[in-house]
Amino acid sequence: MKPAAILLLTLLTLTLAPAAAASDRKDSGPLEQRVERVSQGLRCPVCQSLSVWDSPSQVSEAMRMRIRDLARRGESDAQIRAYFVARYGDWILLSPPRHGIALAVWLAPLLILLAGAAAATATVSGWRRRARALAAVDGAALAAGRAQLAELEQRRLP
Amino acid sequence: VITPLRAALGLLAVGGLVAALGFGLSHDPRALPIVVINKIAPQETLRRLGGGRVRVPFAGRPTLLNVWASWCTECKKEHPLLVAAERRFGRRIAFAGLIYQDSVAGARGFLRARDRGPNGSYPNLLDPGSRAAIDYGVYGVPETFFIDRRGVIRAKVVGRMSWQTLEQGLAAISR
Repeated sequence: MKPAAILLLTLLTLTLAPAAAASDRKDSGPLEQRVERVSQGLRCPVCQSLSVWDSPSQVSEAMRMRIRDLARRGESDAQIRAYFVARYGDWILLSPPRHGIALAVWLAPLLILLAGAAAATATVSGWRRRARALAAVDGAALAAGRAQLAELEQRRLP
Repeated sequence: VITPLRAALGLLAVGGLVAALGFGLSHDPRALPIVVINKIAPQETLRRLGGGRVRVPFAGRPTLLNVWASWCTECKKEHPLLVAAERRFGRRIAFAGLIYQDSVAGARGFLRARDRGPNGSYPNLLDPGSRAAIDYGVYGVPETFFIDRRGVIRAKVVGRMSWQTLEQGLAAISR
C-alpha cells in the first residue's frame, strides 16, 4: 500500500471511530442529552459525591425520570434545576450557585490571586527603590573618597 | 522587618484560615438541609393499598405524611409509634403513608406484621417511579411531613421519630 493510502485510512479510522462508539449508546436524542446535561449538575441524595447521572441508585433513576417528564413538558434547564433546588435546597447542585454566600467560593481564588500580585509588586518595587538608594549612596561615597585621596596626594607633594 | 501592617495582615490570614477550618470541621458535610418548611405541600393523587385513590394532603384537615419502605429497618422500629399515634390523634389529624421504592407484596407483608391487616390502619399510598416522593423532596426513609389544614408543610422529620418529636410535629399543625 502506498504511504498516502495508509495515512488516509488511519485518518478515516480516527475520525469515524468515536462517532461509531457514540451511536452504540442507547437513545441519545435531544431529550436524553438534556437529561444527561441537567442530571450531571445534580447531586445524588444517597451517594457520596456522585451526580444523579452517574449514580445507579433508584432515587437517581427516579430523578432522571422526573427531569425527562419536566423537559417533555417544555421546562427549561434552569426551571428544572429550580424545581430540584426548591425541594432539596442549593445542596442538590454539584457546583455552588453564583449568588449569596456561595458566591465567595467563586470569587475567593480571584481575590487571592489579586492580593498575591499586589504583594509581589509591592515587594519588587521596594527592592528596586532600595537598590537605587544604595547606588546613589555608593556614588556619593565614591566621589567623596576620590576627592579625599586627591587632596592627600596633593598634600604629600612638596 | 515586622511592621504593624504586616503583623495585622498575617494575623488576618491565619485567623481567616482558622475560622474556615473551624466552620468546616464543626459542620457535618452530610447533614441535609430542609427547605420545604412553610411551603405549600404538593398535591398528589395516588392509589392506596386495598384499592381506591386518595389525594394528599387531605383538604381542610391537618395531615401527617410518613414516607416508609418495607426494606427500611428504622421504619420497622418507627411503625408501632405511628399506629399508636393514629389511634390517639386520628380524629383530629389525618394520617397517610407514602410507600417508597417498594413492591406491593413487600409493603403488605410489612403492614401485616405490625399493623391492623395488610393495608394498614390508615391509607398507605403507592408511588410508582417515586414521583410524589421527589415532589416532596424526600432523601430517604423514614421521613415524616407535618402539613397544616391549609396545606402548608410546617415540620419535617428525617429519620425515625421519637414520641416527643412526633407530638411536637402534631402540635405545629394542630393550631
